[in-house]
Amino acid sequence: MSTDDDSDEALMMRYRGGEVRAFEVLLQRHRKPVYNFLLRSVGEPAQAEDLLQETFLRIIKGSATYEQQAKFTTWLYTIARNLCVDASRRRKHRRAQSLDAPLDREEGGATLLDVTVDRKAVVDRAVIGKQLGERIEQAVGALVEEQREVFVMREVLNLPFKEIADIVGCPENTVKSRMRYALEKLREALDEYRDLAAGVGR
Amino acid sequence: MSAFDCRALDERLLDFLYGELLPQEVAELEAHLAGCARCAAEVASFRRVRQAASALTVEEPRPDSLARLLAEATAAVSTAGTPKLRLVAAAPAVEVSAPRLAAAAPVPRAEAIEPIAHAAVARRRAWWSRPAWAAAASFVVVGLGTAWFLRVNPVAVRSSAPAIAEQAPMEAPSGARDEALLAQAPAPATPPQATAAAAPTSAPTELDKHVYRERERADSDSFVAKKRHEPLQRRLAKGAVSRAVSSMDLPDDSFGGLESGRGGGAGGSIGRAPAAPPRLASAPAREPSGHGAWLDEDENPQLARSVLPPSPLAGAPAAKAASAAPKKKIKSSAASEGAIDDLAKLREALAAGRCTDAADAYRSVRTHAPDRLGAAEREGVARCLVRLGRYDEAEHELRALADKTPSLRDEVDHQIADINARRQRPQAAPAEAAAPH
Repeated sequence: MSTDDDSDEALMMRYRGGEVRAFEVLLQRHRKPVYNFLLRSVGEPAQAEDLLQETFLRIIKGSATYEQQAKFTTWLYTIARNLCVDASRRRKHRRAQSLDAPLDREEGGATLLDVTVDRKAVVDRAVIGKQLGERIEQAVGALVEEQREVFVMREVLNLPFKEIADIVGCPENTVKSRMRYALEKLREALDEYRDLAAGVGR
Repeated sequence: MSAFDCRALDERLLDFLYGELLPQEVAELEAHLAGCARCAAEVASFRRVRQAASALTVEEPRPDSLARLLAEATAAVSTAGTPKLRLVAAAPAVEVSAPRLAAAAPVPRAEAIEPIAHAAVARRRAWWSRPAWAAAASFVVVGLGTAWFLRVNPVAVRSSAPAIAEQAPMEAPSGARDEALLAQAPAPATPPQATAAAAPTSAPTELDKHVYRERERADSDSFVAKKRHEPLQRRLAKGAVSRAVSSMDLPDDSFGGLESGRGGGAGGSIGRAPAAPPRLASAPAREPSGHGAWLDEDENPQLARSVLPPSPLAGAPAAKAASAAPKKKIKSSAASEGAIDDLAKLREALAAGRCTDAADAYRSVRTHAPDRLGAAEREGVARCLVRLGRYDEAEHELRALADKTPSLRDEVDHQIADINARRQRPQAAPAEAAAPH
């Protein structure tokens, strides 16, 4: 991973060496995914923006001691996650799950994040109606925090389980079982929806 | 099917779903699925979830933060290598995003403005709260302290700016480098009338008036008490931002007094600064009630009339760059002196709002040492050129700026649109300027 010149780690080292441009690339690459992670965690766009700033400010601050062996995204999301934990400790966040997020942006969702490369599931957007989108948003928002963060990291950010385990600070198996719960809950929610929207599914 | 039973699939289901299995394992698993309806159904159901999840919205963060983070990033690395130039140059840029935030999101996003505004407050409060610093030094500290402050303590800026602000001037010079600079820094050579020249640029807005009313009411409160008074604090913060933007050089005292809340008002806090340089000495003219006094048309009618509306660019950055000028000069003795002199002149002129001088100095620097020009200078000059009615040149500078700093492109476009609007109505003065108070 670190042999690649464009890898996060290589860029971080270049930034450490004084090349601000390298940091800019990192920013462009990760701002959006980190923001979405934060947004799904705290629910408030304004707060997510704040935490986004803080996350990268901490990266900047810590850059002097950064070592290439450390996986950049692990570090990045550990910081982001810690900030979320702090934030939710400070005030019980209400989960204003993206009701304000315009659902017609669905198309934008397809491109996802720059880092999200190989999405295995084939997306058939014609099938997924607006309502289904709404439903899944709701269901994800309703997940328990520890399940949701794992789900978002794996599904939306495309981070491998191992890395998620590093970020969350628990064994990979724990991460996987949380993921499993999350998927089962979502499946339930979708099944309900499908039963309601009778006839289409089965 | 033999080696791979249902339980094995269950264990690896997630890895399989998310493509984390080795090709051989995938093959085994698929073989099992082919013969096991139950497992196949399970996998299919989770795939449907994944498919549905692909409809999750992905939001775009606001573009504002980019410029600020880049400025921070620049400042941070510059402490390691060739610090002073970049550190100082980066500091003004830090505030670039503040005006834009203010402009782009007037009310509901006030929180977003606050951190930066607090920094501005911190800067203003900082110098007078430590009268021990000679005036010249405090002038330097203001710029330096802010740079240091934002760099070292970016998080603190958000959470507890006022409290930490008090420490800023004390700690800022603690690095040997900074101390040396302070020792050498010449007193700012800004003549008294520079204040007058700069003053007209800060037209009192409705918000300002409101802030003043609020302040008068709360004047006797302690600052801490006011801090708890969130709405007021927010308005003050916004006032700081809009003022910093609308003014090429707002003397630090004018708002420092306002923020102090420890009685006395603007004049009072100035009185506490012992060795105030000329530009500060002229400040008592600004009475709380007389916001409009900043807009002295008699002293500088031309500028007063050509006041720009709060611009998303420059203003504050340019002013701060100016305060940093002497440092820069000391630091880079090796470089081509002439151009550096001009750079200092440029910054000084920008800070003082002397547009013609700024434009002249700028031409020289651009010719001899274009690399020295930071975004803050370019922006400042563009503003000056607009003020002077030299729209084509201004546009040229802005475009050059955007080429050099792509992250500023949005602001630049905004500015150019503004210029174009001005071209349509060359004589019309902005509303705020037309009605001084």
